[in-house]
Amino acid sequence: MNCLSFVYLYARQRIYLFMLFFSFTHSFMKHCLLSSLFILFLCSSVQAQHTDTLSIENLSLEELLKLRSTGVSSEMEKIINEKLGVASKKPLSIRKSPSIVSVISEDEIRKSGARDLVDVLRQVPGFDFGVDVQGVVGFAVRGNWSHEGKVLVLLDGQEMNETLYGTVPLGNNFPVQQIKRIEIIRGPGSAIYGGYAEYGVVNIITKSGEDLNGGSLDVVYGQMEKTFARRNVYASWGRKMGGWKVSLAGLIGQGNRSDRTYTDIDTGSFDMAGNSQFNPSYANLGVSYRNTSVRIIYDRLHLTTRDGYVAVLSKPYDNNFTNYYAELRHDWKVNDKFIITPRFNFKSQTGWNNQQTILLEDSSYSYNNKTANRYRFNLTASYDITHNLNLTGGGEFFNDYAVARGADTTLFQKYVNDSVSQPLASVSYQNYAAFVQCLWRNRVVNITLGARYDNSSAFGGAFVPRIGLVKNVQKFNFKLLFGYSFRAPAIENISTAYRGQMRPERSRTLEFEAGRQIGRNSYLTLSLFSFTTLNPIIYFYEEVTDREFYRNREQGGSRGVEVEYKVKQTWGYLSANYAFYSVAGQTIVPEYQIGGINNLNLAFPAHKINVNAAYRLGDHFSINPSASFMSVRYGLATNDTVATRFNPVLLLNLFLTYDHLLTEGLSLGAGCYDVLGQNFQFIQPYNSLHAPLPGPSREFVFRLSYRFQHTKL
Amino acid sequence: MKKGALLILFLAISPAFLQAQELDSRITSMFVFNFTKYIEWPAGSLGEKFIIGVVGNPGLTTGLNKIVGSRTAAGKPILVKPIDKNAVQDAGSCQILIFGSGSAGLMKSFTEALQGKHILLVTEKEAGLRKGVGINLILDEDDDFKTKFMLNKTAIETAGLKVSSSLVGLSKQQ
Repeated sequence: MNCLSFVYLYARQRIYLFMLFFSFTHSFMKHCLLSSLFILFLCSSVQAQHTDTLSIENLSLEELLKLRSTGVSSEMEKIINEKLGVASKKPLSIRKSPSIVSVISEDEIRKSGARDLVDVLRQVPGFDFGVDVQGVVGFAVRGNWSHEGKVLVLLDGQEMNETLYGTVPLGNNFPVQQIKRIEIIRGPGSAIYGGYAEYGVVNIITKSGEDLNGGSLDVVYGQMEKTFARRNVYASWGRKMGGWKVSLAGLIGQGNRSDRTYTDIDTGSFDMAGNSQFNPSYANLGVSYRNTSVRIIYDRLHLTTRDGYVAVLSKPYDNNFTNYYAELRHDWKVNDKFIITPRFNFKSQTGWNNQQTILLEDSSYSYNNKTANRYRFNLTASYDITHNLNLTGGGEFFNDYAVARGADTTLFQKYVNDSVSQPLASVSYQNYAAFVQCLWRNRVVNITLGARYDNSSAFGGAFVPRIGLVKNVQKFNFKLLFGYSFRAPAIENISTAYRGQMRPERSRTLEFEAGRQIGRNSYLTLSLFSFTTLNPIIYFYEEVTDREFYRNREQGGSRGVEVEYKVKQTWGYLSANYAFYSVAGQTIVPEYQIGGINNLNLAFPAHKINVNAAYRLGDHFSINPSASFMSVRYGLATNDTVATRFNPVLLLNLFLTYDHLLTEGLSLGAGCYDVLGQNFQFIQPYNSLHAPLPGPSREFVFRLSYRFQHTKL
Repeated sequence: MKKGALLILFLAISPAFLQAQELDSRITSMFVFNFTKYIEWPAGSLGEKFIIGVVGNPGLTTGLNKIVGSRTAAGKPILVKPIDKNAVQDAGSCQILIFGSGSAGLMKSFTEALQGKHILLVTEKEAGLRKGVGINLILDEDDDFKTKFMLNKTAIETAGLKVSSSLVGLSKQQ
């Protein structure tokens, strides 16, 4: 019976995906609409299961208060109605959040055998990855390179983006074994979060002391064809004791980005095995007492690079990221309706750090030793005027201070006029912000009005309003969202601004989402988006002066569609999604252009399909296949202005888990990533002469986990 | 084209828009029946039967009839009585009067006409609490669509009824 259900659901999913795929072989919006209608009507024909048979005649008032209006919630209903904090100042469910939201659960991460955050976020519609420089891989969202300060990454509320450029290097880092949930905004978030959330927000929540109530140890080993990919140890412990909650988690490991051969645009090459280290060390302490909490995180990433900027280097150089984060927060509940939250954050980051002496033949690489600190005060007040009307507002101040360390103390600059710059040993900028959000729930439509205004001593003001209309009608939900977002120029963008001129870039985004709960165990959403980025901040290299700069270009953006389907049954779960983007008809950033192709940006495929499933066999054993299909991509692989065509890629993975092996709490996982040996490559999304960076070859992954629980106090 | 597409999409699903998310009448009925255990009516105000009147929402009348069966409230057999929207005088003999969905517009005239009567007024509309209604049932969309109730203690006591502290404790804050 379970097998039949799985086959039926799989076949139905195939029909949805086929319809969408077919539609985009023709004009975009027209067929997208037809597909939307077809899907919604198809879903409408599926009979919902009712719970009229549920006996309530003898329930007490206390029991009735725990009862859902249509009976006991299914697992899927719990997921789609669970409150999230990522998309609104006041927590709301996925269906009611005024943003396009994805949620990835601990179970999905653990069962899939995800090796790192790239594996996890690759499963998110519209998310892609490309290579920057120096072996660093970063985000793209909806076909647009988002690595530098366009996607905000929060880990337990701490801003992970490094302050010099706004980047978040991705690879064998982040404690994937300790994550409780990831909440993702696939779209603008600046009206809440400010200048790093122009294209998206990734909110990673690790297990609290209460979630853990015990300890865990995970040992993960990954073996590529020539060398190991990772050997990591994760440990965590946590407990709730009266009003106290304490958690302590850590990760230490070693890894190699790849074991394949990197070939630069001039055919220079090196073997990445042993030359592309990716070694994380991380510790996270969380302590809370009632409404007051403290968080301290240490995160260090030791990378080695021989790919540098353009030509391969003669030896591996360091490229380290050492970060410290701290937060003190208090939720002052004035009464049941009014909460005031003061928050203080500090982060100190030394990113893109190399203190090695540069050999003469590697003059394209450079010594880099800078530390950037940010301290931030935030005061937020939330008032429930009535049950259906909430007003939240507040203010924020942060100070950025960056200083050059070591031998070279003139690593920053300030332009005196259009062409003459003055070297500086340190820079400091201040930012003031005010924000407000009104959430009004009524019978016609739920309305979210929000806005944020930032004023920086470096680049002036940025105002980003938004409006969201959300309607839930029984099994349906609809969202119509419009808003602005912005990217705050980071310290290095300002320091190397072309002719000293730099403005924040702004995006204008229109989104529509239709969602449908099908039966009690599955959920389908279809999202349409269109956004335009004005004055995008783009890196470029000027040959005449042999210098690198940032400047505002005219315009960028994309439009497209994303479909996501999830089903959760007693046999397991299936999550599948399809994403499409196009830049046709829009002004393309020149550095992102592909000669002769006018609907794509460099590096990112128009079509992407992801599937992640778990099928239970018995109480302890689970088979977990996952896959990502990416259509044709283009990138610069040689010293030629004509882009190279990269064939479609199908990354197929299989992971098996066995829980409670021999003893309670002991689990074994084993599997293979890139079963088909597709040898994925991270392509540079902007024209800056870096050849595609090979990803790992076929990798066999083994994981041994042990979890124990304390008796609840 | 884009605007047209969105408009058509909205229109295509407009029948769904016309249906608001409503309380489950069986659960509402059970709540109302349970309230009788936490409220005390003056002894002299009760007749031979304990009358629960329902304005609007025939489904709620049916649901209540199924729930009450042969049960009693305040030691009396329960009678569920539909109340016509134009017959406010019929509501005077009720111990509980429920304003079902769609009858919110009648609340003001009913509460004014029934002032001084020992009647617990219950509604499914939040604004009812500000119009002198004692208990408001809501569907809490923020809490997995559970049914909750909010309570106007002053309004209940003004009607000469005693409300237990445990009922106040179980109610949702306004």
